[in-house]
Amino acid sequence: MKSTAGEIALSVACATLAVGIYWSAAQIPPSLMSQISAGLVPRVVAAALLLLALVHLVTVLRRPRQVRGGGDSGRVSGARLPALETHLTWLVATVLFGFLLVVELELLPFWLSGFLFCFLAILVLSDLSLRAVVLAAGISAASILVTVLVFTQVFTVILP
Amino acid sequence: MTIELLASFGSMLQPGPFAFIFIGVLSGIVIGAIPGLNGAMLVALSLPLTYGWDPLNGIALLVGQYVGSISGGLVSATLLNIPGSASSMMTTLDAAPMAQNGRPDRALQLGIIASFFGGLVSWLALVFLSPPLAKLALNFGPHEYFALVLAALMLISSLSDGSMVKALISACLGMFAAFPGIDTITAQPRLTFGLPQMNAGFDLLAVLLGVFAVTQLLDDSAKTSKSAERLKLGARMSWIKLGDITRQWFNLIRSSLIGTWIGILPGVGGSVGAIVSYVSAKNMSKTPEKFGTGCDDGVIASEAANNATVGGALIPMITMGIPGSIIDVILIAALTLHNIRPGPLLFQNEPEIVYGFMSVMFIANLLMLLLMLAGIRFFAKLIDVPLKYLVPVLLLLCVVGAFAVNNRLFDVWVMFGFGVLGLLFRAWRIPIAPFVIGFILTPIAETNFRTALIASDNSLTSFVMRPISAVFIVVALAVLVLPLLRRRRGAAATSSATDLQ
Repeated sequence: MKSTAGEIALSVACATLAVGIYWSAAQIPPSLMSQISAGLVPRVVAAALLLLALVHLVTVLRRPRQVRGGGDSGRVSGARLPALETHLTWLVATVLFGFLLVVELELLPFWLSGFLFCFLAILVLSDLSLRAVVLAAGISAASILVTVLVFTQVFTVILP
Repeated sequence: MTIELLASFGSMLQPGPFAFIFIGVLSGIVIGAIPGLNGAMLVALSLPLTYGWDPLNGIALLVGQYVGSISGGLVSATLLNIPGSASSMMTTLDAAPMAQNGRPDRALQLGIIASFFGGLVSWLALVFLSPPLAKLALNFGPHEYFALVLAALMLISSLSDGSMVKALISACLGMFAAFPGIDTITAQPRLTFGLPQMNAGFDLLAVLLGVFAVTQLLDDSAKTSKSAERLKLGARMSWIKLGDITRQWFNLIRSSLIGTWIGILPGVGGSVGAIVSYVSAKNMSKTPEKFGTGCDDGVIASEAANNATVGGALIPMITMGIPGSIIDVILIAALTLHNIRPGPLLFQNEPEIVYGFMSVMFIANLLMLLLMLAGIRFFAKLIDVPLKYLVPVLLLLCVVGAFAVNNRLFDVWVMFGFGVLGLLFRAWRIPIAPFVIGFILTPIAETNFRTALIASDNSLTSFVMRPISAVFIVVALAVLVLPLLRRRRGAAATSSATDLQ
């Protein structure tokens, strides 16, 4: 993602969110119990966010071209997305999302889905080899066993 | 006060609470020593465990972790030239060269002793400054509280890294995250989008686990394949002399006081304290050229200051309910889970909690000193622990932890959502501290703002008519306007210099 494009996307996202929150807060009817509506403060903050998003947009667009291209000088730092350049972060996030989806839809028992999540995530982060598979299986089994035992027996949590 | 404090020491030195402090400090050092993992993540991860405990045991564990994690960062900063935590950033500048010059033992020992000293000075500040500040805060009404929170949010936004506009955006987004749910004054549902689960708003713990733990762990996933060369400790440990420490007395006191002061400022943690202290030590040194080459002064300035921020940060949290650092946000959450509200009334209503914080902090500091000096070799090995195994296991614990508090999967999704939001914040270089402080302080600020308006017939001028409230509002405005003026003046100076050329 180009620096300027990322910053413009941030401004647009914030402005859209601000308008959405403002509109939603404006729908709250006045209460008989209080003169001041529950939507007052959200509207004020939404207006402030909209203003900040516009200031940010103007600052980004007014930056000299060479700085906009990728430099990091000036008060508005460029979004070079260091974390996002690496796919592993998003791969593990996707595995986590899949795990939560399986738990939500009750496709598998929690202990099994937890084991599979750990196993897959470790494999994603390791170099693929037989040793890595065995280690991943061992660590995942031990982790899920300890987690389930501690939370159900010690903290008496009813796991999903 | 002395009697209550001594009584608190007595109860905290009982086997049960002492074991929690011990486990807290040890786990804090371990996590702090592993590059990539940090104290905020550990404290957030441990928070669900403390839910059913006695609040003092929870404080013992969490404050122990706080102290331990700040100190543990020293290990990888010295042996790996990578700060284990952000607060050890400046330590790498001198501790790593010292270690590379064949004196890793010296760097670690100086850092550990300076950390203890910094913690001790800030503990004294906590003990002696908190009661008068709490007494002062008792005079605060809704106007003053709202103005205080506003000033705190402005201050944290101006002190955050990078763009102030982004910091303010972060604060606004944090406030948005706090709005959904049933309104406390009118009992109307607000921004719930028709979801019954949203009636209670976003669960505090789920949000904190998301932005602190999940974001950090997902970000660490990208670092699992990288390995750095670490320095090994020699076969025999050589100990520093007492003179090496006493020679640094002025540096120790100055750095500890700077750290304590920086800690008191809302939302500013160990990293800023260490930077300011290091720069001050360098500027005041007769041999500034030695800084960055492995000199004692640099290690001591950084480590004394970063540990001193812990006690400093607890002062506004205990006395006014304003978090001094992001870990304090989690400590506030821990108290909230036990229906305890930090603030001036804490001294009257729950004095054992106040003195509990004080005694735990002292004991944790002492334990940190002993554990780190005795276990340097063990902690040095921790930096080899592969993150590729830790990250998935800790993520699993996050999922179970978020679920455990309310037994509902909705909170786990909230945690995941805020974890991804935290990643986007990192990508856009938006500071996270204003977000979490906005999130935690908004309910207090909003309730006080609306109560103040109701009490003064919707008159906004009442905020500037009351002296304390007016002072806070002036501070908030100054913090907002001064950087803009400075920037404009800087731009004018640059353009006139260009014209002259």
